[in-house]
Amino acid sequence: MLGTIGKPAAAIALAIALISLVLLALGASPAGVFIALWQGAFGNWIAFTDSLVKATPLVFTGLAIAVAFSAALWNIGADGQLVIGAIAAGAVGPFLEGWPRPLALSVVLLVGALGGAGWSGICGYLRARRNTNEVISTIMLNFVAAQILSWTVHGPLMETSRAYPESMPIASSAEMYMFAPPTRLNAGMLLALLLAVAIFFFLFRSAAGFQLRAMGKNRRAANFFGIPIASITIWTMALSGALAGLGGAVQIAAINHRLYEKVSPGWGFEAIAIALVARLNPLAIVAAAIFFGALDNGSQAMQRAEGVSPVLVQVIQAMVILILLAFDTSAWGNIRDAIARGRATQAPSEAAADA
Amino acid sequence: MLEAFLTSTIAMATPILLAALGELLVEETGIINIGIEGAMLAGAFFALSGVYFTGSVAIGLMCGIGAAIAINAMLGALVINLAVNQVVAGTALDILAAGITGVFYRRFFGITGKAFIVTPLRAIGLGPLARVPILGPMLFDQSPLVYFAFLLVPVIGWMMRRTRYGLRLRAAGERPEAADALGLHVYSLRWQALIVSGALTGVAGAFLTVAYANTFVENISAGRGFVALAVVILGRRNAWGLAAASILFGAAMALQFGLQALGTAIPYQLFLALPYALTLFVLAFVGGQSSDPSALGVPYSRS
Amino acid sequence: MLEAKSITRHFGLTLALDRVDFSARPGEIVALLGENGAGKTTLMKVFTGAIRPDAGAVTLEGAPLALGSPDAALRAGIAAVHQSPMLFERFSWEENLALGGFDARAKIDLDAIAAKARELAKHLGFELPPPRATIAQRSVAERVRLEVLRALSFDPRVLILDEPTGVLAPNELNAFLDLLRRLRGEGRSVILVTHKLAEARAVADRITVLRNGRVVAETTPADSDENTLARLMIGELAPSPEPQIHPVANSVTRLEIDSLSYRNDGVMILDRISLRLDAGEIAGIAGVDGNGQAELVEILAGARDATSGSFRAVGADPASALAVIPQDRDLDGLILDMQLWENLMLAAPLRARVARRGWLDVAGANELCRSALASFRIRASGPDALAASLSGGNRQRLEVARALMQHPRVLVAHNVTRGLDLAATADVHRLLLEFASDGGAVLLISSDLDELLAMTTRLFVISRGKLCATESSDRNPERLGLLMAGRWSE
Repeated sequence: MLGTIGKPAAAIALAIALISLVLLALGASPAGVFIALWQGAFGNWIAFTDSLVKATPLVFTGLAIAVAFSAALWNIGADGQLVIGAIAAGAVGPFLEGWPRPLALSVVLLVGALGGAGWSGICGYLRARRNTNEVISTIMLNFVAAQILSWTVHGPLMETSRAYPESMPIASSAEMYMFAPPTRLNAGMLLALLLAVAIFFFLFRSAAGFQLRAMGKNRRAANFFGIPIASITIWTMALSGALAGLGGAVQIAAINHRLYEKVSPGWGFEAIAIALVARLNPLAIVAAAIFFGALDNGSQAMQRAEGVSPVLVQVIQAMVILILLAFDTSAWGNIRDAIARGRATQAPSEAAADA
Repeated sequence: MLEAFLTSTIAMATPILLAALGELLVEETGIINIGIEGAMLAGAFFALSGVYFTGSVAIGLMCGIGAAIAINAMLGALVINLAVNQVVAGTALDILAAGITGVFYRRFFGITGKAFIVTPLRAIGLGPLARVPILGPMLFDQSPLVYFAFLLVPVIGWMMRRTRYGLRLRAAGERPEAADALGLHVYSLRWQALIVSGALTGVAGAFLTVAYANTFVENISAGRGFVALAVVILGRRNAWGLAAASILFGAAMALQFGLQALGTAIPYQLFLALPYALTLFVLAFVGGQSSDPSALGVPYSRS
Repeated sequence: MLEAKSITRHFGLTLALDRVDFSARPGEIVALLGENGAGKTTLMKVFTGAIRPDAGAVTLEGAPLALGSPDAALRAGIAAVHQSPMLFERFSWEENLALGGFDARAKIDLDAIAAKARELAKHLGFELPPPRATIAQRSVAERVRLEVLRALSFDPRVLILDEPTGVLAPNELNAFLDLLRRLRGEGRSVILVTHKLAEARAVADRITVLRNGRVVAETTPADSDENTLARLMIGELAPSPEPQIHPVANSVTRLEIDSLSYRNDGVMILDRISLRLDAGEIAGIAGVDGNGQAELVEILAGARDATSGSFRAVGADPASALAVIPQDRDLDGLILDMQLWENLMLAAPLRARVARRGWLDVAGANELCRSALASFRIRASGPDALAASLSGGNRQRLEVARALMQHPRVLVAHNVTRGLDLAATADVHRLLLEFASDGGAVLLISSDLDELLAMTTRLFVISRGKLCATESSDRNPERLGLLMAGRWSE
């Protein structure tokens, strides 16, 4: 009935309808808001490229969520893992002056990935060995990561004049390759695309990915057939965190070039909406990330034009998730069956013979 | 000094305790409500709005309770009637609440610069008891919501362990098919738990804005809802255990301000991070959830 | 008098009940007879209110029964004892009974409830567990008894028992049938849902036979012998007895289990299990569920570690030499949400066959699955069908296929034909026999004595974790029943 694109598209359409109601309640014009959003996202070349730039961290976190959720590991801490990755990059970056760029970039990205992996791996370890609920542990570490960030930009990594709450800039050799200044298109986006393809092959074409997904769909059966639940839990969470951390490092290397009090406007949560829209398929995540990235980009214009806070996009994200969840349930299966029964005239004996 | 810290501890423990008590009911019926944070935030904002626009604390409380119940109701429709994934649904509701309260806040207050302040819900001192040194203010000079929360502890404890209703709730969370087979109406029990929990969480949120901070800032709940989830686990799903665990976290939060006031060289971020790190640490230490209701978090659909 | 008229119910596109009429009078035992999948449990669920029929009506003493509401059914006086007792594992038995009809007050008094239960239990000749003991450690027979108590606490006019004897040892069976007669004497209607002809004929006043969702006969034990009933149940001549392939054991050892013990939480679940299995033989372990079989199977599958002792499958490649089929196919054996070829990949040896350096050859895996579907006659739309779309019998054929495809030396199967209709059962047995005559060794762990007696050359009995070998003189249900109950010295 509804194809693979149909459902997410319908969900987004319904979300837009509901948002319009909210906007009317706020006294704002839905048409004005959506036009402003569109203009802000795609109105001109810079805006368009910026939408892609804003989509990049979403690809990383979206992949992080897809990997974890595929194993039924509820990693709600992608935000914190991204922040830790950013901190790692921002801490190491300033000291790489004079290094050859490929090497400096590799180091920065590597520490970012390792930082995120460790931050998430702790929760994976606790889940595997102590059966600690990973939803709570990852959320707690989100808050801790935010405080660590705050401390670094006010403290040890603070910029030398000590006047602004930001860190020292990373070395120019650690800055990401930019493709086409004055746009902000950068090589980090390429990395994101490559990773999306790689993670797709990993999840759906590798034996390890198969075991991860089997564990996610039926832990008991996976355990019965000797799939190592505990170790998969740990390395899946670590991989998930690594992807998020990498996203943070890329953001620092390509865009921010230094740490600020706030690095992520909630990419780790937005990623959940993206992963669901994409049905945990890494290739579809790229498309979904571009959509939401454009939304984020356009929201600044929406603020200027209509006075509606950019925070509205969070409402859109949440509605998309809720609507998709509602659409996806087996409750609809019963209705489908009733309709099919009305149409078909299958003889009872044929049906029973299938048993 | 010590008095202020103790009083603050109990005050800070209160919203956590209220939310945790509500969550206990919900989890005993088999649902895990990750959206509790969003419910608390919604409760906080709409309670304050209610007081601000009508001047009446009672109406404010009702608004806060209503908002939190609305959030829980959305969860209920999804996870009870449609049996969807509870973690994802709850997370979505957290995002929704943050978005809605943020948008409404900025629309009506952020830009115009109007101060979103109300007169505080006064503490009620219980006469001479309040003047007892050290323990007096902590125990007997608190907002009425504090008394309400702590008095609720034995009530809920008794209800869960000794009444037929409590047994029915627990049956729904232990094995919903068996509960339905006994005519217990699992869906209905779960809805009841979510509504009551919504009311308690709404009060918790209201406490944050109306009784404690007297204003609203975005994400004022600051993870207290999630801490309440941990408190349910740490308190071993026992009402008294929940009270003890809430006080522990209340102390950690109170410590932030106390030690900051001391002006030590320790960075203030450490104290802000303390409650969350402590939660994680204790959870890791306490380990597995062997006391979980067997069907906790498992989507259930009456065939 | 319970009367059901024209009950119809679909599941998806399948018609589970087709205009079924049924009745049960006070003071009578009615057997609802049919093979697995005939619709018996579905009809029972209509009576207990767990399911609402698509069409049809039910009356009790002339008054219409509100359908689809377990509450209404209980209040009307219909209570049931389920195939797998619907008890709450972590609650005490008193709390379980408290949700019954002994006491309806708002405040729970467990002692008062226990006292009433004790009275009823004495009247029925039951023993009760120690005070405040949880269900988790109770034996299956105890659980059935507790559920009977809880059902009777509602003082029901109609008591439905769904396949209760499947989990009882043979010696407990007679006591149970006596219980049914006693309940009948109290003026209740007793409905015995079963696929076991002999029991139905032994105790029922009337027998209603269900086949493929339709009532095909209403008769009495006097009017129908076992062959007639079997033919009515299956719809054709009773299948010829199991093929008389007699696998010959040579003395090449394939499986050695040496003093295997498993202890959990201080409880000894498996106690020094030792046995040797030779190529070509089918050995059986008979036992009532819950005596350690599930744990033994998990240990052999590698999903659980033994506390002490060891086992060894002898073969060129130890990793693939031992294949295990778990008893719960939907929870442990298959991932219903995954496609058929992916389910085949759960078996590590099969995965290794289509993987190269960690990468899966998806096309190759699909091909492997396609050939499996064909050679094992599994009805499915293709390798990409979801396991959930398969019927129970086809799911089990898939599991057997998966086990055999890894070319094991030893096959361990736990309750492998449970819940299957006769055609699927025959298929599975045939595959096992062929495997054995080709030189494989089979360890058949089952609570179904008919199956074990027909299939096995050597038979053990397991009781409370201890294994006991049997002689050929023990190979009859009464004797085995005693052994399964742990009475080895008699």
